[in-house]
Amino acid sequence: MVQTVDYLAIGPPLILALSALAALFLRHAAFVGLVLAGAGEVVLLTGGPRRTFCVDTSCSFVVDDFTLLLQTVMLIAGLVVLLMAQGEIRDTRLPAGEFHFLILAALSGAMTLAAGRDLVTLVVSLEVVSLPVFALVALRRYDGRSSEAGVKMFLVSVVSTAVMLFGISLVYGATGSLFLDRIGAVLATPSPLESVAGVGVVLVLAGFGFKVSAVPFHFWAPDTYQGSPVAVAGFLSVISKAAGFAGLVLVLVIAFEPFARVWGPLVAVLAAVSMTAGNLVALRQRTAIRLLAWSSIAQAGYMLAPLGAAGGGAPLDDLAAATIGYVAIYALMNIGVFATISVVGWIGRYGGGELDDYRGLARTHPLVAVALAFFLACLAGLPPGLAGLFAKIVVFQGTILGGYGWLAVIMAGNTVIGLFYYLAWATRLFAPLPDGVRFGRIARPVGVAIGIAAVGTAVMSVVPQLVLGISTGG
Amino acid sequence: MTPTYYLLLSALLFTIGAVGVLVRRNAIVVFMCVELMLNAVNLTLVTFARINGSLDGQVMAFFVMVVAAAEVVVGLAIIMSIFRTRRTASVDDANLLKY
Repeated sequence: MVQTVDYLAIGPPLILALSALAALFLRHAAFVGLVLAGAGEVVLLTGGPRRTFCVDTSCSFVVDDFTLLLQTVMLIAGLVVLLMAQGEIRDTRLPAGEFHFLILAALSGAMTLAAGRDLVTLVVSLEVVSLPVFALVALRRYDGRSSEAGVKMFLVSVVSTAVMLFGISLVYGATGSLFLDRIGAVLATPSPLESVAGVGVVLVLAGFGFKVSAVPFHFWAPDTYQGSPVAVAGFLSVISKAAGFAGLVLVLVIAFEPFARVWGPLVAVLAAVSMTAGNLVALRQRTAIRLLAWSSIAQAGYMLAPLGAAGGGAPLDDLAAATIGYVAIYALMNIGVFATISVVGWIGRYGGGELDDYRGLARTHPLVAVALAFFLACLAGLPPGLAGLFAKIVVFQGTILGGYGWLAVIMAGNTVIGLFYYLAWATRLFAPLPDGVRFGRIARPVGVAIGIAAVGTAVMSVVPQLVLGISTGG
Repeated sequence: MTPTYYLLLSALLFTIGAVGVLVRRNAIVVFMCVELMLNAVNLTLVTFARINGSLDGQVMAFFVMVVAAAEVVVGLAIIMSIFRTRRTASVDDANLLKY
């Protein structure tokens, strides 16, 4: 049997992988690669869905609306990460070629993951996201904190991969296939191996729980964010998390749909615990980067909530669309916050600085301060941050649609807690400038990065229907 | 041949690995226990491939090996770098980052 390969469909991740190699030797290859991959994405956006690597009717690589949405958001976030890293690469003497190579390699893995429709592709691309990130986190070799952050993330991540793989092996044993759609078809019919498949489903869920840093699998996140370069923390919090959610949604909605009664309540509990613990601990944080780490744990809880309502019998596609819409909007607004703190961080002692260091930013850098306040309002879900508000509404809708009123109530309470710490940070920006404090000039690439994120988030505030309501499409 | 024994063996290996990850303190030993868990996964995959009469599981086992090898490369490098700065590979002594 001869396989024909649709090179246009696999184009964007392939271009990124090739330009990653070129970036080791050429200075601007990374940006050229991102632009070319973006052009490929535009071509794919204008055409219909494409499928490749098929066996009979099942395909391993599918480019549909779901894939395109996630890939586009990841590309934009990847561009922002690379731009905001430029200042940091220069100031902390990171090796530029290696940094670009690792970021692009991980990005190509994330983009493959959004298109993968069988378990082998999902696992391998998840590892392609994770492995370069370990190296990125530990890239400041002279800094003990950096290696410590790397080793913590590494050990947690490999254990979670092993647990997920064991779950996958059980699911394979019970169903005899690795394609998501075939697994879904086999699981829908009663069989004596149902309990084996059930254990496999729970183990796979636990493995993804680590990747999206949901409580109780979150311990690595705050330390890793703090110890790594700010741009890498942004990558972890946005692209790596979006990749984790892409895999989670694909596996749960396509393959494990018949088992929604098993995983639904578990995801609901994960969501409730994640948002509550994340928000409560974020209240007590004094450094920007740890606050963002805990807030991103809480946001993972909001994203899980609609999936948690799956046990109630609501159409899974609507719930998955709510989750993915939230992931897309969250990616844009959160990468904006990271781009902003990568500037301000240098006045503090380490990445991101303390929250009190942000006092008076609006006096000297009004545009940056307004952008940061806008991103924070979005994360809180408060006007004028309409993007975040729309995302929250969709998530609430999904949760209530599934008949999980209690989860919606917990979410409402958490939104209020979140409001407090996001706004407490935003008001500091407009406080009078303390004596003797000066903010330095902002490097041009970082300014561009903040601008891209701000434009993206503003567009989402005006036309959120671009990203809301897009599901896996079978 | 009874496939059940192979599945029992792999479950046992996975459990030994998981317990080792939880109780051992040296990063290298923790890492070796993870490798044990991955090998248990391989054994399960191959056994199920045999039971199901399909090759998918065996192919997946090869991918798991590649993933494990790549993890070793990156992981040992990171453990080396922490050892260079701290002169220890114990995960309990990694305490620079908190609060």
